[in-house]
Amino acid sequence: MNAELFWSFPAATLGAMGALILWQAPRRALLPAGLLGGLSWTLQRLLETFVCPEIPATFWAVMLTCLLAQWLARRMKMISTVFINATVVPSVPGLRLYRFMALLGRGSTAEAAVVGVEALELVLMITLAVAVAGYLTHILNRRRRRARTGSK
Amino acid sequence: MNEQAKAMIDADLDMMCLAGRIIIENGGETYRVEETVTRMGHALGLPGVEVFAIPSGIFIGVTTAEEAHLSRILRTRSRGTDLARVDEVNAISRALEQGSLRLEEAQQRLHLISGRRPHVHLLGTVIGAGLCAFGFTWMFRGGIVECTVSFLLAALAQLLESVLRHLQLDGLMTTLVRSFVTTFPAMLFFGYVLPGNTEATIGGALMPLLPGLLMTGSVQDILRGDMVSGASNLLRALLIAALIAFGALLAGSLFAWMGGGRL
Repeated sequence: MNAELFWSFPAATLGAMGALILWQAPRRALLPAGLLGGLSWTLQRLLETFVCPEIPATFWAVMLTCLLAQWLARRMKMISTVFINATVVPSVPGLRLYRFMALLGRGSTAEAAVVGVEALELVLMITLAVAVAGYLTHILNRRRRRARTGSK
Repeated sequence: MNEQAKAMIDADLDMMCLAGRIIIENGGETYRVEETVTRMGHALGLPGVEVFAIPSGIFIGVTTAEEAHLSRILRTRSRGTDLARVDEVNAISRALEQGSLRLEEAQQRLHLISGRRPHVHLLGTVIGAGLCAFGFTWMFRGGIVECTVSFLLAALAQLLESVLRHLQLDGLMTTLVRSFVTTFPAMLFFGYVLPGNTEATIGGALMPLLPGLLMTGSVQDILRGDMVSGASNLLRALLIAALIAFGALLAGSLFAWMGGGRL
């Protein structure tokens, strides 16, 4: 398990960087955004292994790394889209989508339904995590703007 | 309003339309179009700017200091992904807002961004898709054989996408074809040539096709209360996921009909 956890970071980073190249992301964002993708997946695996089941682990990992993505986008003066998508892409349930269709193709409808629901739950958790992180960032930015201008 | 003032505002509107079009046609969220174009309008000294963007069009209305109203409607058709372009347009709007960029310079830069070729060329995107598949297959506990097969299949699917786009075939149907092309050879290879982890290979190779960008974009739109754009993009993302799944199902059925090898 430890070796798997160790390798999950470079694997997810490489996958996220490949996706960023495909999306024509700005060159200077490739490494930091890719590393965020790796961090997101590793955090998810760590939480899943030591703290909570897969669904809440996905939520917390994506939410925390999305907050980091928003911060990094601000620091680097770039659009947050690049960083948020790099964070999310390793968690998108591509493997489950394939499993779902493979089981459906074999006629194992009940098993396929379980995998399909799991995939939907993961998608829901990812969207919720992105939404919560976006909302928190919005509140923090508004507060900071108000503090800067001195208005209430 | 005299003719000269009208011509100036027309030029401003043209620039705002171009900025909006670049963002929407290159994978930017619709809320970003509205924010960027509004920011540009205010930076250009227009007191009233109203922007309404949906994935298939942009409506811009401005009110001048003399209380004159002008508007533009722009239909957008092509949709691709070039986040570098979206980022550059965003930077231009911020520079205009801060006063560090002149209007003529901004116009010139926007035309340059709009007309230039993508900074990652065909070979780059093919390698990018391959790397994406390689990394995710590794993440799904695939070995070196699985990762290599996944790399080659994703690269092939990306190359096929370029060929199909060149032939002007519909984007959504392309997804179905790419999914089939990714899945079926992997089944043949692991069914008849070498034993291996088919699931990790196909799962990883399908990752570049998944609509993650569209999905997060739609969530961001919904979060900002833009339900029309959010729902429309979410529906498109679901349709793409269904087509990917259908392509894999077709490949699985064909493989089973052929006897299924050792899988």
